[in-house]
Amino acid sequence: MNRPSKKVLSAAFVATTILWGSQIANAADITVMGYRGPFEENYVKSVVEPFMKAHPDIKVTFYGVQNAATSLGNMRAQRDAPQVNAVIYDLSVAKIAKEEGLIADVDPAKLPNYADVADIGKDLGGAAVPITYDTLSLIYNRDAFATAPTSWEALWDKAQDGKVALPAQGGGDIQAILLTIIANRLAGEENYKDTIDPGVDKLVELAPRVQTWEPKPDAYTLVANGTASVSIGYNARSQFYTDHTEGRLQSVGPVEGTASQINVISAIENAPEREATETFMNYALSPEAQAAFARAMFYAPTNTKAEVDEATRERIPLMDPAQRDKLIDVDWMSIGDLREDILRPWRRQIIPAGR
Amino acid sequence: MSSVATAPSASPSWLRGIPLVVVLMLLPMAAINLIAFVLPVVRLAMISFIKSRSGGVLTDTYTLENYVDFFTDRFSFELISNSLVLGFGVTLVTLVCSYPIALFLHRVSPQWRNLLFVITVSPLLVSSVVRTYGWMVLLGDQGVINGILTSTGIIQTPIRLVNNLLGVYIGMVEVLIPYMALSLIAGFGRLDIVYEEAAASLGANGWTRFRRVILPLTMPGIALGCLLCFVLAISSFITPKLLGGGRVFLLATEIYDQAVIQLEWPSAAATSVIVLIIFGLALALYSRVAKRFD
Repeated sequence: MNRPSKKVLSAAFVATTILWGSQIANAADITVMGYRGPFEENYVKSVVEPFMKAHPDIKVTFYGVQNAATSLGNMRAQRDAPQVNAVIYDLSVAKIAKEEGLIADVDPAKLPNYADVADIGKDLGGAAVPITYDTLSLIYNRDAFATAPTSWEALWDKAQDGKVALPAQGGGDIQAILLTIIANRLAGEENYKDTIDPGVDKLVELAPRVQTWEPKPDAYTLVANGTASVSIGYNARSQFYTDHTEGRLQSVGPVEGTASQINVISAIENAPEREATETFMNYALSPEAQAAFARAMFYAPTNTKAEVDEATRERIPLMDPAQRDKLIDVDWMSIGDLREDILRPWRRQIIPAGR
Repeated sequence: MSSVATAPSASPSWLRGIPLVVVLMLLPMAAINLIAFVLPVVRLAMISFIKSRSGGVLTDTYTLENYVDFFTDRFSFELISNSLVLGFGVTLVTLVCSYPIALFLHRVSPQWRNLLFVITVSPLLVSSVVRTYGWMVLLGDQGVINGILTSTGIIQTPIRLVNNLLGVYIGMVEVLIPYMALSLIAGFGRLDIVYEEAAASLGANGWTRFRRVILPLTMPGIALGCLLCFVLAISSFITPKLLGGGRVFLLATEIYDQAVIQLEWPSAAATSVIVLIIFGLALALYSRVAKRFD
């Protein structure tokens, strides 16, 4: 029996070691922090896994957190030794992260797909690039309404007394801000920067009919199971729940128009693997990744070249030209400064009026 | 005769005379406390003095502003008052519910005592979050209680038992009963049936025996249970969050809102320090009460 010589074995060992070593040297392991739950589940399937298939040398781990504020907390705690490389979170929180020097100012030239990203929410440039657009919707229980509601005024409908759930506490801050702006417009005041008093008065009027200001586990579940009949929620999650509740939960972009919520992606300052992180960010902004996530979760793509099928488009209000025309303009850069002024009346006037 | 090594004479006066082995044995626990408790509290106190810009952006400047803002805002006093009222209220109701249970357990024959004792504390085997969700199911508008009341015609429309202060009281009393019962039983050591018998032989009726004999002898247990429940009630966060429907504003929920919603970490840290001071005052009050009944 022929046995390989020691020289051959040694050469094979050295070659294997070199090859394995070069593989390790090229491989990058990055962590992306973002929303947990259905977002994480669908984002991993439609963006992270296809990315890793296309880039076998980069491993991406998705780290799910409760909300954008939690992401900010983690970034603050890890300022000197970041454990994540990129973060997907809300634009208004990204502004705070930028001012605190927690996120890197990525050169847009390093993200070829940046040029195709729509203008909405591009205020922070390469530091926080819009990755999903969503809108606030009116959500309702199909069996609670003989005729499907089409207006935000359904929240003020006396027939729904005690059946209104409003996520204004415990993490519903962005929704509370948007509803204040919408109520302000319903009360006749177009510019929330001038005053929010009419909107606050209108919400005070609504308060006695509210069942809970902090729906648990969330507003979608309470509306779907009939505990509440009407609420507000984001379109993407509403569509997801519509599919998972056999249509018991329905959502609508009301006739008065709605406001957008913008999620952005940022690279973390001082985090390693910047090149791999930028490669991932660029892929996340690509037409294919944007279209795939829109199909999976009904977020409007931010890449203008993303092609979305008709059935999906119909379920994303921002992709409907009529709804887009009626989009209520929210300046998220100034919301950071107005945040406390808008949220303060909720706990001091609006919620106490419903006790 | 063996001699025991004590702390060196160069060591602080409060350590002198303590056997060296005791000092060495205490070191690991002292180190754990220092790292896991003292340092985080110091860090928390430091954050409470950081100045933040609008939107919660942290700066490198230190200020007293966060404390000034807290004490000049009327809403803060509402929070303190809500928390104290809830703390005292829940403690009182828990005491009233637990005292008969503890007294019964103290008097029951030893063969039953262990079993009944396990049953009393068995709710602690289930997470308080799970139990609170259970209360949400029971107390909701479409819950079991409203279902029974409406189906039997006692009420026409569901009564609101949850998403308000009543729901928080119900949930918290249920969560705290095992703690109160355990503390009461632990403090009932001096209660002996012979004292009651002696009082009865002197003509004391049931109420007098309870007021003049049982209550004073069980006071250490009552003080301990009340302190524990008050501290747990005032710092509780999950039950008010789940059962309060966003309507019940307390110091603990405010800290969460300031940190997680308003992103104002320095304000949240300042409020936390104030809660710690309230805990300190409660402990001081307890030690005075405990001394009186010793």
